[in-house]
Amino acid sequence: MNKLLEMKTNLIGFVEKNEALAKAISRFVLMLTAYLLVFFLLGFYAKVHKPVLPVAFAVISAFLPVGIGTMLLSAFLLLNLYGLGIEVTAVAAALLLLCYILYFRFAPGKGYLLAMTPIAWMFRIPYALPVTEGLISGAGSAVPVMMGTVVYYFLKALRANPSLFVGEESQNPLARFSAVVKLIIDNKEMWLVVGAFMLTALVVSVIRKTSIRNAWRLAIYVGVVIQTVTILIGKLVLGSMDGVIGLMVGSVISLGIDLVVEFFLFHLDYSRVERVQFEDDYYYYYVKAVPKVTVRAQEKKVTTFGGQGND
Amino acid sequence: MVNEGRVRTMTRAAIFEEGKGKKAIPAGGYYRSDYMFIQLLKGFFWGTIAFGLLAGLVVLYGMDSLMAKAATMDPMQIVVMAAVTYVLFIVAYLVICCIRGYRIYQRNEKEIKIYEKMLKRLEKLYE
Repeated sequence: MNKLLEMKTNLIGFVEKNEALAKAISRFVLMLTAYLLVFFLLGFYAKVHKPVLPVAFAVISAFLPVGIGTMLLSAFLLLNLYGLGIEVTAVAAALLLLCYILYFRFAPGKGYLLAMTPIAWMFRIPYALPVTEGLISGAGSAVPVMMGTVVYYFLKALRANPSLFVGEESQNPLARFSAVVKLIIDNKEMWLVVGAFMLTALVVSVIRKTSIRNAWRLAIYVGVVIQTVTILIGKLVLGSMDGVIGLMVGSVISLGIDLVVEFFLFHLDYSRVERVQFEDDYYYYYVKAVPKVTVRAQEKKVTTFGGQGND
Repeated sequence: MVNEGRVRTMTRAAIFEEGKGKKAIPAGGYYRSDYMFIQLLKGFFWGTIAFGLLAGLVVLYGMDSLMAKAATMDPMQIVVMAAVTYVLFIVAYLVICCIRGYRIYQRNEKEIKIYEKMLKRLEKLYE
């Protein structure tokens, strides 16, 4: 355990020392992953299907604020969707603009979640996000995760049904518009997951704020269980048990990720709890202070053999 | 000789100017009522666009049934229904904008007061 704590202290120290570089690298990795996913999975427009573009955009995004980087990514996505027709592009643009107006206008710093959520879905670990956001920022931060989930399901449906939009010249444009919108609104599984995410984030943020022992740990366990059970029951009700194994495996991996987050942000030593009482003119104070578990990073010792001092 | 106190205060002030102050200082130039009015105006603009987009998506989704219903409905009734929905939506959106604007203004006020104290301290150190 001490070794782990030492590694954590060293890592935090390293990131603090190289903050600008660490931020740029993490932005680059996040954006490159997002651009490559768009390029490989949604590259419907041949004119922009050039490998240099995602890499160039990711490099540019590494030096831009997250909000602007996400906008650039959205533009690249829309450009690729243009290959499926103007109707698909228009509905996707409306969806992204709604995300901006209804949430990201108020919290531009959370823009990365709109890119990160579909990526987490691709790696089958989206279930970690509502719990993590509920722990770190509160239930409100589950909103961008929910928006990211809607975007993911929409893109997944487009990828699964490209023939709906390509090569059917006879279909009139309004019917095509209608078909695109139906891909979003008629997706019951998507609404189920979105609801489960909201519920999870709410429960997690409520438990996390309590002063009980191991509040974060309990919030994580309860959150993961509620999320998994809600989605399972929902799937039963909808009569579609596809992806249950993925859900289970994803939930276990997410649990691991959440515990790592807890280790970095909320590692307390409950064996050394201190309780103090005092009063002023207006209140009695009952204070419970729980110390954080920390270790000092080992300092490097330089031992010199030979030389002048060793006569 | 380097005055340590001066350097420390100047550094803190510069950090604020380059970070949070970039937005807070210009916003602090407004009276609260003016700031809230601007927020409401922006909210009205964006809220109207959001309503337009949502309404568009809903109409496109239920186009077939809406067309059938619209043929039997009074056009005035449709207009009134749309207007009431719009008013409800925009009021809810503006309330959120108001709460958020008020909180940001309060936070800015506090931060600018601290910043002004820093500047006064700096002035004294130069006297």
